[in-house]
Amino acid sequence: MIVETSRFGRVEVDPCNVIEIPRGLIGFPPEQRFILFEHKPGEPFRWLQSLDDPALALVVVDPHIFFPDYEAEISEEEARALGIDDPGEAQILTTVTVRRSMGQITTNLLGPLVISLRNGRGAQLVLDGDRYTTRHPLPMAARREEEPSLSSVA
Amino acid sequence: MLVLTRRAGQSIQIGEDVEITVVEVRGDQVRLGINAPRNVSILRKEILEEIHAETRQAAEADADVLAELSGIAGETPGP
Repeated sequence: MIVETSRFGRVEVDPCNVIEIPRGLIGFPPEQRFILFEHKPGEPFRWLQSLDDPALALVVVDPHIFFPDYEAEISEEEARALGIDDPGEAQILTTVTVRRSMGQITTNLLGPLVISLRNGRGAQLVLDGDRYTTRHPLPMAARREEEPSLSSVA
Repeated sequence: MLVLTRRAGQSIQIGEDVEITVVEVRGDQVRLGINAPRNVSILRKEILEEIHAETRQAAEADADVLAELSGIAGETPGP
């Protein structure tokens, strides 16, 4: 099927890859369908594009690539509603925010998306506790800034 | 909005399943105890608002952002 997007023009998508988010993203309208676009194969950052709102698209990433110890706990009720019986059936993604003026790239580890790999149903969670925030700097971005001083020391 | 006055130890029952008890009042802070079925989501409102604001900010990214990010991704060690 062909979908209209405001960033990428008309895009052909495979209906099998459609992600349904019945409750919507937090603060956004419910009953939204999305699709994941790869930028380049093998890259961790992808676009989550709404099929219902051409202007709604977010950059998302698998947070485990940058934060290997990251844990998103999902309630039994939520898991059941999404059709997830086993952690291996869930894909976790977090949104990425780029603030160019501040040279800052962060990801929201407090409100991750959980998507069932079996049926494409997903939800945005709010994690308990104060372990995570909405703005974790991506460590690689930080390291890149530090590199010149490290090499001069060596 | 319905406004009720309660003292510490008193409760409010909402529907059949939800009970909110005032546990303690100290200065401008109130501790609440909530009994609700597990499928009822209970969240501090400001956290919900913070996540909404961050998601909205993320949704403002333009199409060029991934090209910028790909430089960072290139330096990422494998998972």
